Formats: sequence, C-alpha cells, structure tokens
Amino acid sequence: MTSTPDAAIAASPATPRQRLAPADLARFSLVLAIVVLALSTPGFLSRPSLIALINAMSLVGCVALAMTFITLGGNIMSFSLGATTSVAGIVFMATLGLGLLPAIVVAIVAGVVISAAQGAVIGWLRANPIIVSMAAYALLIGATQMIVGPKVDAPNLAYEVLKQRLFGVPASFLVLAAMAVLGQLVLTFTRFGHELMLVGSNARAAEAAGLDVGRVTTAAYMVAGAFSAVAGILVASRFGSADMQTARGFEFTAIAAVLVGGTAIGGGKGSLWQTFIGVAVMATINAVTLLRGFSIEIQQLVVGLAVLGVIVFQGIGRRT
Amino acid sequence: MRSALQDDTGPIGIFLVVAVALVAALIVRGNLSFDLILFSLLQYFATIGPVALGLGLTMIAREFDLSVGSTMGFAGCVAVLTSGDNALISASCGIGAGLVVGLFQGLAIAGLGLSSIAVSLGGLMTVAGLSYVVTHNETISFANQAVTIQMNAPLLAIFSVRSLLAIACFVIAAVVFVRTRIGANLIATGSDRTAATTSGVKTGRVVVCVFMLSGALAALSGVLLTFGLSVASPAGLTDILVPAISAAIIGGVSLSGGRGSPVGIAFGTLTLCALSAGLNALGLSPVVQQIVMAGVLFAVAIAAAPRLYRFHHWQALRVRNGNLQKTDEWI
Repeated sequence: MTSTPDAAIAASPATPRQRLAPADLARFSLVLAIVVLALSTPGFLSRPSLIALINAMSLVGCVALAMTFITLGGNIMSFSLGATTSVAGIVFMATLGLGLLPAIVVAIVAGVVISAAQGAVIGWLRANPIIVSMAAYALLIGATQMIVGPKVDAPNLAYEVLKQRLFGVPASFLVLAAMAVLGQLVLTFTRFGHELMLVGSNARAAEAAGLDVGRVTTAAYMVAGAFSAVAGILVASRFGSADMQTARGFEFTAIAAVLVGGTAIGGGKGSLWQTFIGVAVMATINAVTLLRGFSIEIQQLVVGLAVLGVIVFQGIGRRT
Repeated sequence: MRSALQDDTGPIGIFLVVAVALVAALIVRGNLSFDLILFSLLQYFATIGPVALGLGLTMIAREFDLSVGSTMGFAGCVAVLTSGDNALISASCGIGAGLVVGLFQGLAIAGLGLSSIAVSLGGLMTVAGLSYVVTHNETISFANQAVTIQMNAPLLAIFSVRSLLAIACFVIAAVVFVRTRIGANLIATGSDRTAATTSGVKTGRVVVCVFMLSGALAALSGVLLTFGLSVASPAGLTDILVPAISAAIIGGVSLSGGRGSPVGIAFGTLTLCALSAGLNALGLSPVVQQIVMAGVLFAVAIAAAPRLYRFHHWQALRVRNGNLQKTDEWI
C-alpha cells in the first residue's frame, strides 16, 4: 500500500487527441452511410416504423449498456449476458404474484448475483473472462431448462405498466434512456467509474497504484448483471411470458453496439452514450434491412462484418 | 530436449482416473456392451477432438481462436452446398473454407498486432453470418447417403472413418510436434515472443500457420460431422467451445501460453468423452450432461486462474509484480 487510489487517478495522464484515428473515421463513415441509407428508405420515418425501431433498441440496448461496463473494465465481453437476461425475465415472471415492485427487485437481485459470482472469479483470481462467461452461459441454460422448463407465463397483468407509452414514447425506451444517463453519471462522477477506467486501461498499473482490481471488477459485473436484469424484465413484459430463447444471442448484438459506438475492445476508453449511439446504429441496420426487403441473414453478416471492421480499424489506429 | 511424454503425465493421469470411474459405472449398471460404448465415445471424440487440437495449438502459441465454433458449422454448410458425386471434393471445399478463415484471422492478428480474442470474436460473428447467408437460414441436408453410411459404419468394432481420421490428426500433430522444430517454435512463440523473435523464430509466420491449422481442423470436424449426420445447420455459435476449451485445458494447455502438447490435448479430450460416456451409461438426461460439462468448464477456468495458488501470499506477489517481466496472467 504505497499510494492511494486518488493519487493514481490524479497521476493518470490525459490522452490528447491530435487527429482523427482510422477507427473513428471508419465509424463515422459507417454511421453516415447508415443515416443516408435509412433516410432514403421509404417508410423509415413513418410512426410505426420509428416505434418499432425504438422498441428494438430498448431491449437489446440495456444489455449493450451492461456489456459496456465489462468491456470498459478490460474484460472484452461476457457470453452470459443474454442468458442472464433470460433468467432475470423468468425470475420476474415467476415472482410477479408477489406484486410488480417485489418482482422487479428479486429479478434484479438475481441478475446481480449471477454476474457478481463471475466477476469475483475473474477479478480476484484473474480467471479468463471469456471462459468463465461461456461456462456460466452453458450452466444457466442447462440449469434453467432443468428447474423451470421451457417457458413461464405471467400470473397476472401487473407487468402491463411496462408496456405503456408516455407521450407516445414506449416506457421501455424511457427506461433505457434513464439507465444510460444514470450509468454515464456513475462512470463520469463517481470514484468507481474512475477506478473502472484505470483498471480497464492497465490492470497491473492500477494494482501497483493500490487499487483493488478484484473489487472494481466484481462491481462492474454487478452493474452489468443489474442492467441485464432490467433488459430481462422488459423482454418478459413485452411478450407476457419468459423463456430462454427470446434473449438468445443478445450478447453478440450488444458487443457489436459497444464496438461500433467506439468503446475500445481492450478497455479503458469509451462511454455509455457512445454505446447508445451504437445501439441506434444496430437497430437502424435492422430496420433498414427489413424495410428494404433484404433477408434476415444479411443482417447477421453485416453485424459480424461491422464488429470485425471496427476491431481491425481500432488496431490500425493504435499502431499509427 | 524434452522427452515426448514428460509434460503429459498429468492429463494421462486424469484420464486414467476418469476411465476407471467409467468402467466402474459400466460394471455397476451391468448388461451394457463395451464395444458400443467405446464406439460412441470415439464418435464424440471425432467431433470435439480436432476442434480441441486446433484451439489448443493456438493457446500454446499464447493466442486464442474463438471462431472455431462457427468455422465448424460454416465448413459443414460449404461441404453440403458443394456436394456432388465426389465427397472428397466437397470435403476439400469445406476444409479449404476453414483454411481461408484461419488465414485471414492469422494475418490480421500477426500483421496488425491485434488481440486474437478480439479478431476471432469478429471472425466468429462474421463466419456465422456467412453460414446464414449461404444456407438462407435453413438446415440443409446432405444427399449422398452412401457417404453417411460409410462415415458411421463401425470399423474394427469400435472405430469409424470419422474417429480414425480424428485420431490420425492427433498422431500426425504429435509426431510433428516432437520430431521437428515446429513444436519448439510454437512453444517459444507462446512462452516469450520477444525472445523467440530475437533468437530467430518467425513468430508472425507461426501465428498465421497455427490459425490456419485451427481453422482447417475445426472445418474437418464440421465436415465429418455433417457427413455423419447428413445435415448441416448454420446455427450453433459457441456450443462446441465449451467442451473444446475444457479438453485443451484438462490436456495441460496453459492459457498463458508455452505449455501443452497434442498428446496432452488428446487425453484431455478422451477424459471429457469418457465423462460424457459415463453420464450416458448412468442414464442421465442430456440436460444434466450439459450442466456437468458447463460445471467442468467452470472448474477448469478457476483451476487455470493464475492467482488461485498465490492467493494466500498476496503481499509477496505484489512486491514481485513490481519488477516482474512476465506473469502467467493471460492478457
């Protein structure tokens, strides 16, 4: 214990940006291309289309916000966030008989516990985050299938409040926006936010400076679990039932949104509002492919290529 | 120079323990055919063995190929789509697709100095997208029934074409690994890349080659599985990764690179197959088996965690870390 965390934060050098990195350039052109494509697509600006876009954004968006905390902390991605989302949705539906608020609390606690266990192993023992989250994914799928079965239906209609619209905007989108703002405030203004950025940019240096990497990593995973659980509650409310299928693969769309938003894959650089833009881009790609009559397969390929492109361009940018 | 089996005593020991448990389970259950159980064990070995071998070799080089899951599926789809009268041609197309996927990823990793997890994550998603596009998001079936029958026909009671090919991959890899410089170069690349480069190992070339090999082996497994099942499906991104990673790590491959061998990976895979066969013989449902496999991977992840054994002398570690060149942490 030679120095305090605050000293470490003060000593961390600011990163000045002299010129536009190739990754930023590539990202801006991607966003621009998608905006132009979207605006030139007939029917894109119609009200039902925009509502569908916003709905699509809010579900996977919460998972993308969750993923941002994991990526920022230097742990690349979690393969288990989609499964965590599903489990939280199932817990929500199973406990809805107790009332809306208790069910929400229990579901979020479930998400936090599932995620915290992984974060503790990753943070304190330095276990590989990819392998731990993959094992957790398989474990969650198997355990849920054994304990719950294929699907849980809502016992009452208390969840319908989450399907309402406020001034024409779906409540789920308001939840997403509120979480993005809240999360970004935590990142920018709290000690945890600063410590997470330090751990993400260089865990060893952060530890040498006296930060408890295990604690910061566990906290990041807990936040990610809570955000995924909120996504699970929204998904379950949307469909009036919960299963392990609906949120399957959310983690891939989420990491795509995080990377397209500009958060560094290696951690330590990025923000939640960037992820928010990334989510909007992903949802727009989704909407445009649908409206233009492209098959759903093309979308999968575009998402994959976007991730690959951003990773390669980020690497080129880092070298020059 | 190391002796051929020196590093592999651990994996072989673990395998023997699990194998004895399997035999005990079979005897307790009674009236089960050993031939049949060994046959299905080796069929499972044929599915995950080549994938684990390719993934394990990238891990020895201190890299990690996440894309094997979708490469496997993609190669199967390509093999079906190019199938005609000659199954060898379509198999070559499938394996060629795997080689190309590996080549591009290897070039991006070695040429641009990128993290292999990041690149192969992009590769995983892109190749999965490609599979969806080429198959139009449908399960496609392989028409050549003669090949399917040939693939699954038992040879010498417990083997099949599939499992013999998988075993051949391991034998070739083991011989090359021990008898040529390739094994030493791979270990050197994974242990300390700067030192390896300084002493003349072309580490970039090693990384590209190991990713091509990983792609080709995953593709081989995918093609053989498709031929055996007579269908190919674009789905299945990461399902194969759970057993493949477990097999490699049980087989003595270190996540921090520089340790492991094909023989070890073979026994790691056999351990998993024996475990699976044992669970089958006990009549446990597939769901329980999935949970056990996931539990194994979780345990393996914790057992392979660099800090597990040093957790109690935390302070000493901290002092050492201050001027340590290389730790066994994986990033």
